[in-house]
Amino acid sequence: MTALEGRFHDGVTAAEHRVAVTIVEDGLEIAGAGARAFWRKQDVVVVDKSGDVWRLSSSETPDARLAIEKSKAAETALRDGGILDPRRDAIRGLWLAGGLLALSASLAFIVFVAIPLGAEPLARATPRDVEEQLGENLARQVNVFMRPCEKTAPADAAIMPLLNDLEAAGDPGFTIMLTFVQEDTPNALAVAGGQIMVTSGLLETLESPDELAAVIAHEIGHVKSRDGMIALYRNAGLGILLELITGGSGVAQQIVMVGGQLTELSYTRAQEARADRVAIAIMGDAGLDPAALARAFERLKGYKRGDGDEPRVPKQMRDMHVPEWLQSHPDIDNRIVRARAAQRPARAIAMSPEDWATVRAACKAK
Amino acid sequence: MTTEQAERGAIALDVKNNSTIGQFLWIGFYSSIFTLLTLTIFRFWARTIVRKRLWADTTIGGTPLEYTGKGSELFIGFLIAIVTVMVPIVGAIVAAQLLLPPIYTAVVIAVVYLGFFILIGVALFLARRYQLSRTNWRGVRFEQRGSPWAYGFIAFGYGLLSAITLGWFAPAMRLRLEKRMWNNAFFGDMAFTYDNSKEARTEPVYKSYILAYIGVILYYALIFGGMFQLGLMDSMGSGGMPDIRDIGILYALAFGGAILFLLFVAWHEAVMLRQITKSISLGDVKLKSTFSTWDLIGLVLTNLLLVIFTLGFGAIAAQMRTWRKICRRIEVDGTLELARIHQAASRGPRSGEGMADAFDLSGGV
Repeated sequence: MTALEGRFHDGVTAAEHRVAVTIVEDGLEIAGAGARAFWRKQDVVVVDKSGDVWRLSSSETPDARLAIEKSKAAETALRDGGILDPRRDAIRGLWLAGGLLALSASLAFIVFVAIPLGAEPLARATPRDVEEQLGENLARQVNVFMRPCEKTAPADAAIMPLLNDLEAAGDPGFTIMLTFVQEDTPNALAVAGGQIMVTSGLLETLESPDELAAVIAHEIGHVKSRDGMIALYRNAGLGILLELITGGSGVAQQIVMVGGQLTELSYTRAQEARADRVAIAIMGDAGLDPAALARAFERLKGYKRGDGDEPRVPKQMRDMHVPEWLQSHPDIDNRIVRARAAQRPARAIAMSPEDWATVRAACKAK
Repeated sequence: MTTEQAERGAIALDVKNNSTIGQFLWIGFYSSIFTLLTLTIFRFWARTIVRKRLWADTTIGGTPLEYTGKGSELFIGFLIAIVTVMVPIVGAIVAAQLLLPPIYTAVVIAVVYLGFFILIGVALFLARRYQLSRTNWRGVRFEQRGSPWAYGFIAFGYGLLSAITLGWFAPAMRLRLEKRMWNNAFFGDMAFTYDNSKEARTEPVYKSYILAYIGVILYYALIFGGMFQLGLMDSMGSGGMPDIRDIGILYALAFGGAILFLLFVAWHEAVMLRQITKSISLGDVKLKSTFSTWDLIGLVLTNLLLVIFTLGFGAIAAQMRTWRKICRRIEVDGTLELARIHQAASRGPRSGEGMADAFDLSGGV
């Protein structure tokens, strides 16, 4: 039986009581003027041991506090009585560390695996009219940065037969809406819901109508696979999850973001390959030479961006396909090889030289 | 303190804080690392560790405060707020943007933003309620009573009034909101009171605000003047991106402007701190602060250096230094009959500051 001196707050009033603390077999007996308590051993919690006292509590009376002056004798007594247990703290620390790491790992799983995998089924389950409405709104937003070219009626009319052929061959499930936009970077992009944009830079870079047909066929491939919708779910999922979980806090978020972007790229590669396959099939069905896709890629690859040619579209929107990485990506050569291998003689022409001239001049009307 | 005094329960309540920078630099360092390793989730536990240390280092009448909150409570509160508040808000905005014609989108966004402003007040109130409920001194809990929604709406109304009066209502708003908080705050069953009467407002609140107001105008004049000078306004208007050098200059301007701004607002901020402190009482105990303008300027500048030279790890130590300075400038007059103060009525919320975390309002400690 060891008695220690302590100061006791009973958790009922704010008064302080000088008490004698006796360590008995199954707990602590606390006794003093106006205060008496018994804390069972298994209920005793060390709430603070950093200062010059040990501050104890009991899970039965969680507000009550018992402060015991630190001394060698007191430490021995409390340790022998099983009240102070350094191992318990260490074990609790390990549990917390393990729990947090497991949580982080499952979060990483969601970010890198579940969301990328879930985006596609979700996109397929989305009603087509919803995607169409969405595509319209998105196109409007993209058009804030990439203005549609003006007075394109002649070009629209000239490209219509080709577009109809490609659409019939591809059966993308959406009405294709093609817009010519003012943008020096040669590029074409498919937004959700059949909205396709062709930049003025692309019209200048490509040198034959079947190349343009191949690029449009590739975009129709994206529309058919609902890639815009998939990207939207993926980006929205990642964006919201990361924003929310990290609560907008600095460095860590950046790291996670970079990681997220990497998976995005690799996923996009798969989608690009799929769109290429669809494009090759469409070109063949439309009686055109699928290898035109290879030629279009060659031209894009050869395009060197001059100063001041930075695309004006914010990155999030550019993610909706093709650009930039097309030029630097090692995969592009493989894609060229595959497209070239699909070569077969054309049975038709994409459009007449006159129509091609009209289409190429789509963005030049004053 | 003698036993007789303790039994009578009437003691002098001097406030002290003996935190050390080294300790808080260390906490800042390792919690940054854990926060990175856990994709930021550790931040709730980090904040709890900091509070526990800070509270424990703060003694009133020789007895330390104790923070009894848990990291898991903050984390769960955050998750609850995400699911019940943030997801619906973000969902509504995204859905409106993507699915509705632009005019309706604008309406939806306007409504959501209005609601958001009200929720900010609610969130701040809830955070405070949590913190007080998790603060134990001499075995007795603090408590924040009152309605979070009432606070949110009133704060929103005051905010509108401040906007309408071009900021002239802002100091009055701050004092009134403090009054609202403190008049509903308790130590155990004993109520704090906050005197916002004309007689109690002895500090030059509005006189100092004039200088602060000029500071705000100068600051914005500097930033916008700089932007015009650099032609950034034009390039933004045409949808182009400003170049790196201009952005650098703009940051330099903002930084220099902030230092200048500090000199203009320091007086007012010190005045507000003193005014708020002296308006608070608990029973016969009255508080007073001797926090001076130069205290504030010195504190902010040294904290800035601390954060810069520790590459950000020192942010927590900087917050500690602010709190320590405030504690060291508090004077307490009067005694409390502690034996007559009973335990607080409510245990407080089960989970932590959810919404404030979801909105990122918690700001460190």
